[in-house]
Amino acid sequence: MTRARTRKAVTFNHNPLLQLGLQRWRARLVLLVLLVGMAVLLGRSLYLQGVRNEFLQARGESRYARVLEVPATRGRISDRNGNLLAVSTPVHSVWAIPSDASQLEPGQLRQLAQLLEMDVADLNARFAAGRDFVFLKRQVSPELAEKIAALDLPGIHQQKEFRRFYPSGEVMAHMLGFTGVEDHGQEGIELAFERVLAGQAGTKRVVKDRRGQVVEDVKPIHQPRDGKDVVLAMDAGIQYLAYAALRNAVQQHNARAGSVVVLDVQTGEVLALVNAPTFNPNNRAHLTGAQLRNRVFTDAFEPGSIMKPFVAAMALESGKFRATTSIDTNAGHFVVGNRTIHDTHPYRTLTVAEVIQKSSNIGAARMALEFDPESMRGFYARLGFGSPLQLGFPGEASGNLRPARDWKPIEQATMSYGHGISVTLIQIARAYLAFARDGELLPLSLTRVEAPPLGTRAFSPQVAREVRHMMETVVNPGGTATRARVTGYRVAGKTGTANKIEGGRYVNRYVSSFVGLAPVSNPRLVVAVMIDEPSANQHFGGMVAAPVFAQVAEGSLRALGVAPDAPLAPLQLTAMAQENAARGRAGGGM
Amino acid sequence: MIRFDAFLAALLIVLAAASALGVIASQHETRKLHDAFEREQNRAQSLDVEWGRLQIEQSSLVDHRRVEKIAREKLDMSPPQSGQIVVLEGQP
Repeated sequence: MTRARTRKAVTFNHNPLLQLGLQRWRARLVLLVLLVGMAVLLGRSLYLQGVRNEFLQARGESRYARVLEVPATRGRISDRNGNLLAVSTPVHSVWAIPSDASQLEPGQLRQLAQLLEMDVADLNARFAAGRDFVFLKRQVSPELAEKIAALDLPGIHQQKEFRRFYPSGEVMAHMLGFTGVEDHGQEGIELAFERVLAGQAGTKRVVKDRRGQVVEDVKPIHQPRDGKDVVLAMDAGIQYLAYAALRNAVQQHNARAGSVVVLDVQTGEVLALVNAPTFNPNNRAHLTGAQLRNRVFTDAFEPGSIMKPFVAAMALESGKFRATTSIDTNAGHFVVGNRTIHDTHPYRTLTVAEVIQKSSNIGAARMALEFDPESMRGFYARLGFGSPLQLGFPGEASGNLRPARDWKPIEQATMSYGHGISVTLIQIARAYLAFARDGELLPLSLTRVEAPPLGTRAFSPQVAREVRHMMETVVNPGGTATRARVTGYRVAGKTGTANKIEGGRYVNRYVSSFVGLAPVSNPRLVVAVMIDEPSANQHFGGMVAAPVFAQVAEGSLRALGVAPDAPLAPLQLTAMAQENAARGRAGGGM
Repeated sequence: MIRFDAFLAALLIVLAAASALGVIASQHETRKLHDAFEREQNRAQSLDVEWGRLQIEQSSLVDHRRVEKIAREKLDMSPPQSGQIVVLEGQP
């Protein structure tokens, strides 16, 4: 019967199969499976939308959102009058992805090598080094960077960096120091004031389109913070005067090295600080340690006779001596323990004032031996010897001032004329502030100060003035440093000529120095000069260092507009020297 | 009643479309303004850079070494000698 029916054509609606009564559960099962499937999908999408949305959003954003670095510039350094001494400017570094750069054609490669001033072989060697990233040349000029970008070479890219320029070059090299390739301070002010100068790069989140263009600033993450500018106490004009005078003196005397410091008496500001030999901070390719050394801070040396005014001040302050007190100088020989102290020019007796004027070792030793070691050491320590100034300069030496309980009488005697003790030039310059400021010491400052800081008293104003007058006799006829005199201004100072120690013994090499102040009637400047190992026949401080003092003091006082306190009549000696200099210039310049 | 419902629906559709277009327009405007802002910022930065370079140039032009060299060699100048200085007294 079934067979007969199937033979007949039937429409779908009349299909007898539809008439079969299937069990209801089958349909329900299918429905259930479909419902469960739908619930799973719904749950999953709810889970993705509601619970795990952060992760997915982040993944989505990463397709178009970028975090960009916002560069910050390093602060500028200027002198007290606003002349710029250190400026950062962006430069480009050229780098390559070697695997891409290997497609370069020989002609392109030659072009690139020519622009970069490198060998083609050198370039190939860099590409072959097997790294994914190589610097070809760092810090190229903007013009060159543009030319290279215009070539549009595959695999060659550029990166913006900052480079520090020092327009005044070697004149201020030791004062300013320099920064490394990453624009961090490595020496001098750049290091001492790194925290102030350094900028902090910021970051911001942006949305970029398919072509890499920023279409929307989403939000800044860190605001960039530009470095702050630093205004130095230094006066560029005085600095240059000191630099030129020192350079000439070091050349003329064939000296190994030298330093000059100029301090402002009213504020304790460092107006100039130079060392020779120096270096060019813009091109530091072949630097030696000797060039880099900031001797003013790092080199402690035996000061020699420039210590004597302090002994005189100590003697006067105690009341045991007066300026006119006679001291038996034993005709140039004075035995302490088993050693003998000599004077270069023997005298039978000298007053305290004459001890300073003639620079008598015996006179100074006699005065010092009237004091117990504790009080003498205390006096030296109060002047700042034996401890660093802590101006933040890298590698600052503290000098050597030994504990008083170890002092033997001979040591105490030699310390009165600056042997067996070591100081840095900046320490001694600061200690001389006490003479210039009527007995008061100031903390020094490398940056410009608006109001002078509080000082500390080292000795009485009366004593300071008396010693100042003694030091004025040093530069007058009959003193050891007539070459320190300056036209139009009264100056005072003290010479030093100290034998150097090598391997624990004193040798026939010298440190010549002169520390002085000007003008005497109302001091404005302290100038300290140190010349290390002058070897062209002369080594006395009065011959080597004093003329440098005179040049620096005269030029600086004039530059500062200080009123002369002496007649402007030509000095016999300086007039002669200037005539010689003028003749020399005329001969050489034409 | 039916006509009112249809009218409301149509109105809402038109409003929604207008608002959507408004969003697109303002987004586009934002991006254009942002682009302009970015360009100005870059210009400010490059002007700043140029200022820095000009400052360096100025500093190297007024460098004391250069000034002294020119004064001595080209202008034939020299520091005043002691007899050539006249000091004028005056009120500060």
